Amino acid sequence: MQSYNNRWITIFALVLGIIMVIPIYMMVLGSLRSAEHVFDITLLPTQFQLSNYQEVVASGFLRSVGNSLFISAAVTVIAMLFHAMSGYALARLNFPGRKYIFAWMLSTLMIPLAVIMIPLFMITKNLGMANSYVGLIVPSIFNAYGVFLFRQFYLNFPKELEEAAYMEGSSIAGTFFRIVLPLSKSVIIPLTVGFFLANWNAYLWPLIINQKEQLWVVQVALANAIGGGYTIPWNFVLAASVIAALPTMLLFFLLQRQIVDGIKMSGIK
Amino acid sequence: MSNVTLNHVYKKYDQINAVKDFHLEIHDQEFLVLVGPSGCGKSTTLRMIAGLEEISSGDLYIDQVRVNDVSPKARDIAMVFQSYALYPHMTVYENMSFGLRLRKYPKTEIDQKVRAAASVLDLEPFLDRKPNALSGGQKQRVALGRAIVRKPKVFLMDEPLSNLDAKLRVQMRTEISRLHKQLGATVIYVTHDQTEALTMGDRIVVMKDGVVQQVGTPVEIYHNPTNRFVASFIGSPAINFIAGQLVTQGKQLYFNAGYISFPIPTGKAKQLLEQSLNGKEITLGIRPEAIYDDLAVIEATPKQTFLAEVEMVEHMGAEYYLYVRVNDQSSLTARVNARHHYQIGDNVKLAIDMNKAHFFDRKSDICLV
Repeated sequence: MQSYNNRWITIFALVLGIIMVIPIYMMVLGSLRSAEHVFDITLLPTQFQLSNYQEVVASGFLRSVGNSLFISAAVTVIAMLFHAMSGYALARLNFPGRKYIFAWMLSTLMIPLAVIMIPLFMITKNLGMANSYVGLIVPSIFNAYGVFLFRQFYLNFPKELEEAAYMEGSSIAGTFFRIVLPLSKSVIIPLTVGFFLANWNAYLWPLIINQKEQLWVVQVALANAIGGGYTIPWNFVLAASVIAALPTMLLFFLLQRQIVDGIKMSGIK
Repeated sequence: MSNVTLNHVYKKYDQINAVKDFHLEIHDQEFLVLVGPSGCGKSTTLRMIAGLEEISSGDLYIDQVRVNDVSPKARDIAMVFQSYALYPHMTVYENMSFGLRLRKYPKTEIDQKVRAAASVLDLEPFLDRKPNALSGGQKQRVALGRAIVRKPKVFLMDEPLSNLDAKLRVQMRTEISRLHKQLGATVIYVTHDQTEALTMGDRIVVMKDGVVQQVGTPVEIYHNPTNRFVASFIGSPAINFIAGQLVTQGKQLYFNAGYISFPIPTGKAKQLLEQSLNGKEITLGIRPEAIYDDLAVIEATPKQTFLAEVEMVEHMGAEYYLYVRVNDQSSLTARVNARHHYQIGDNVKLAIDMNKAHFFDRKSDICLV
């Protein structure tokens, strides 16, 4: 009975996997074809021309890939640090209004970006951050989701490890950086991947806060490639899309085990 | 010199008193054991000494310096936790040197101290391993090593052996006692295991509901418990209690439970009569080893014998624990030599050594004699 169930689960998972992979496969096939054959429905490659990729490289698209990499990495690293510190403070330190501050932070999760887009744009612009990396990075750092997950993780963190460090002569900050943070990998890794992907895929905010072409991120550059004229060069767009998808796929393959472990752990605990 | 003084210390959580009026001086190089059931306040007391819990009222002195408001790191105390609290991302060497590195000791001195401590604890082959790759006993030794490496004034140990198996626990008990003597350190040790308390402590503090019940040497605590709780908590198997009355027949004072009656030896009888307790309802406490099945003892003390039915026998190797029922009224435990073979349902004749009996007030549970 057990193996019968397992077989059906495997078949179901395989079907789901194929459904997920087909669009990516079609994207790769299309990126290797000429413009007139880009939408041919075939399972096997009919053309293998790299000229689409050469065109994408020549168009300066790689600069937007670089921008996206830099911005996503910067937001992720800074966010992880500050979110971990905030989560730790909310879980462990006793200060007046701790519960209210947490509730207030959490309530910001209920407000979609579109609602605060205009005031956020005005504040960022008035602070002189528009059309700059700072404007693309700083507003994306603030996110209650990371703080919430870190707080929940630290609520279950073994207190004796911290107390042992205090007894050994460590300060609160020292204990956090020497003991707590290195032992937070199981929450940091899935959050890092999530944050990196969210920022890599960000479109709306980078579109409105930046007018300079040299600061375009991947998604804005792709949208411009699609919306530039009367006809859309789909072979070019698909080749650019493959390039745009590469870093995130690489990230997933490198950290696959840790991501799954992290998701499992955060789900169970 | 490293003595610790607790001067009328209280710990309150909201309206609950976790520790009430803890007043004690712990001497330099003393091995003091705090023992009691779960929730008795022993760990809270230890944590207050460590500085991990605030003291609600009272004063704490280490070497005559009031340390109520001094941070844990400035108290120069080391603590061994129940879970060992080893840092899993650091090697044994890094775990042991953590405190010294924080205190900015020179690298050569750190290395020398860590290796010296590792040598004392037989940890040299494991210095490059991470805690996950160690057995329970090795982890325990690393936790001890981390504590001894910086030679603090006082060692605090919070049930450090409770996660070990029985055999290893006995071994580590000896090891900690040896270490205490070798280092000449002041140790405050928390446990709920009365065997650990009796075997390791220079003095024992028995606690219940946040209140100190008795402070004394293991011998004092075992042989002269101040109340029924201490008598029942210390000793394994537990002391037997029989409810009864003091009655005088002629010139002899008897303990009479209705179904059994034993003459009380002159010395104890005199003390009881001096307290005008004749006719008073009391509880007799008798330890299992003071009940004999030895024929010579039974014949020598015929008035202190009684018949009982065997309910259960526990074979402990050289001795038996006999669980017997007396006249369907009370259950007693006797610790006897494994000479005779007993079966459930056997009727046995046993004798009580009344010289070793304790008498407790029925209402206050205080030991009268």
